[in-house]
Amino acid sequence: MQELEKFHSEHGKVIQEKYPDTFDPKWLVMESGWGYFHISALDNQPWKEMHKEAEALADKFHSHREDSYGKGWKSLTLHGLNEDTQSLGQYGERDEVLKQLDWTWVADECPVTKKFLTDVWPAEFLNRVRFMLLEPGGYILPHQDRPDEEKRLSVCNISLNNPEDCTFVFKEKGIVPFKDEGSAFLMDISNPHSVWNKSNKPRIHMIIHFELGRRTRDMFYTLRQSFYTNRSRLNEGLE
Amino acid sequence: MKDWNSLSVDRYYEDLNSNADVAIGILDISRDIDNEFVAKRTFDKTYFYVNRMLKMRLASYVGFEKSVKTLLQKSIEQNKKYCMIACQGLLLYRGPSLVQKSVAYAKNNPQFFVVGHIMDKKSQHHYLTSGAYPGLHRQYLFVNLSKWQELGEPEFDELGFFSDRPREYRNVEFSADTIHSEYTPAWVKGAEGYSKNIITADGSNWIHLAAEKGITIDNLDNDMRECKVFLYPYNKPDILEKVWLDKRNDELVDQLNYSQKAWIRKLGYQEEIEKDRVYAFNTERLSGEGVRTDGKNIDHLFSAAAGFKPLAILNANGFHRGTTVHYFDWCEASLKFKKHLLETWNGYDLDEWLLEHDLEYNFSSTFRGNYKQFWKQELKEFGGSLAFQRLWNRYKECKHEFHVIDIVNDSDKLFNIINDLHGTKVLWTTNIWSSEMLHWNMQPEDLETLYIKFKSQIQDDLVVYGHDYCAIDLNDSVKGNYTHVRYNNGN
Repeated sequence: MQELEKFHSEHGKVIQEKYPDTFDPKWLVMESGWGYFHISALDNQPWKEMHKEAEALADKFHSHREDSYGKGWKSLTLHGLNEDTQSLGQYGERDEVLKQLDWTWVADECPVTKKFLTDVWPAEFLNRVRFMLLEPGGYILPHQDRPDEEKRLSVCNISLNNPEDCTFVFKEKGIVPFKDEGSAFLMDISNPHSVWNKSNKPRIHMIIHFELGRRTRDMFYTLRQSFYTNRSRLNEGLE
Repeated sequence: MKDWNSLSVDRYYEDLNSNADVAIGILDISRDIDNEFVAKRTFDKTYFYVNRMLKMRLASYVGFEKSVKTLLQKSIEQNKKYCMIACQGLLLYRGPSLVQKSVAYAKNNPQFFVVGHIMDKKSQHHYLTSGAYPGLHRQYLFVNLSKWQELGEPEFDELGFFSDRPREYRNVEFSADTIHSEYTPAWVKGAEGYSKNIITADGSNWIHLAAEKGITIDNLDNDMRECKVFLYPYNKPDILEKVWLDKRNDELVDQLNYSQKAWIRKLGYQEEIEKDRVYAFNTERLSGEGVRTDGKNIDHLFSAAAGFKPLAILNANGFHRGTTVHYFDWCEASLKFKKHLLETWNGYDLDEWLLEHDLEYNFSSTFRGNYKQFWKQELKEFGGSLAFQRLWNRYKECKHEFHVIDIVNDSDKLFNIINDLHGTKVLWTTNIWSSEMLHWNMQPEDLETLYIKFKSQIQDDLVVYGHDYCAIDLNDSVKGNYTHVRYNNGN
């Protein structure tokens, strides 16, 4: 707990990155060094309906990292090997594992979420996609999911809700401004990060691991729209 | 140098054969263009040049689609052999010539699959796709539909990043010759072995498929390239919007890429010289529309001040000593030229008269330096020198009046004159409504509004020649309800 308190107290502040004048996708994703990026182009997705779908399955979630750095942290896989899919690396030859990835029964129970993933999310391939639930009082201790040399915005983390006293904090990059009404962020998970739900409500997010494939331009334009929206909101003091 | 100033420069095409084998479709890349004005206007202008090819019956239009595959399928449904795909923003300003060259290429290479801009990504050093498997630039493709079907009707893949699932594609070999840069080889064909590719370019899958089947893909040669220009509508679209009308703003134009700059500067220059451009001859056919006055002699001809088409109309329909020719033009130099010619020329050897006065007028580049050749052609169409001279003498005897009028923006002024007069009245508007610069400066929706106003003032007793804003014969346009093809990106 001491480690958690120290991390959140040292890094738990809002830090605003400076937006360049023009959008450059390669710079943003690979070179900016940013901890997160708000995909504001997706702000109007039916996050609340998706939250309801996930919440209805709350008793089906599986404990996650309970034996290492998670407490009250649970997951439920929509797309993967089964409803409790872990990091793909642990299942053997990656090429073979990728071929086995498919929708789980969870996706069938969550049609709105599945529609978002098939029709809206701008990437050709889905790898592992999970709902992640953090119980009231639950936390995820500071950790990094990728080595330092894999620094880039890669994974998408979407808040389907985010209670007021629940904070996601990146080392030196500060609090990720997730919205309770729903919001999507690209994250650099090579950066140490931690989450602490001090509220009395479960917090449910969705994490998407993906591969752009032939929808690269779709992603670029989603990011471009988000970039200019974010920058203009910042200039207007709205973000 | 021909002056391709309009949709209906049909005199240039008299020696071109129509073609039933070629379809043409526009690839919708609106998603990539972060500026609504530029997205809309580049579609308008791409269609403008496509329309010219349709008028010449050189191709059939299959629509505006986001997918190359859809355009190709639609072409097959229309029983076409080939499909020309023009990306939104591609200006086929010499499209008819490109169709001719492409069909000739197809006849000489019956097993070809596609002609396109081959991009050797290992030599291009492109910011995002450097090192990628080679591709085909989506600005222009000419596809052999039967070969595409043989290959399984593949979609034309967009550029891709495949970190987990690299594409295993056939190795390729490029020609040593290049077209204009080291990344534009003259051809690409298959080589031994396969490689895994994390980054692919637009059309990489087509190159792979062709390589697998032993098909060589040829690049466009320089003659083909000179028939078109790509405006790269996704590149600095906000600047492109600003210079769309402000063509001579060098500070802004300089910020665009080479291709954009060259086109905007060309238009800026063209606009400047068109202010006092004089057409000694016409770019449209002199006859063809035939007699339209039901055997009645013309009492009043309202005519643009260009070439000898007014004489041809008078000659075909008949006129008399009391006939009045009312010249109108927004360009004062054209009116001055007509007046000068009527006052000083005897009807013989026009080429010599033009040479003598060559520096006094800004004659269209199509005819400059070729006066003798065009004059001979003119005499042939009028039945020889003697016949022309007789006609000219009768014509000179008529009453001639001159009016500075912009019939697009100020049609009231023209119709005030027309409606005050009685007798058999004929109006010839040439290709004013379908001119290239007018369509660059004004979107078709606005032109349509002006045209509807113009059309509404045409009374039943006015016989019309010329073309409307879609290049439809004015005589048909007045009777029918034609409109232009509208931009619709499906969003």
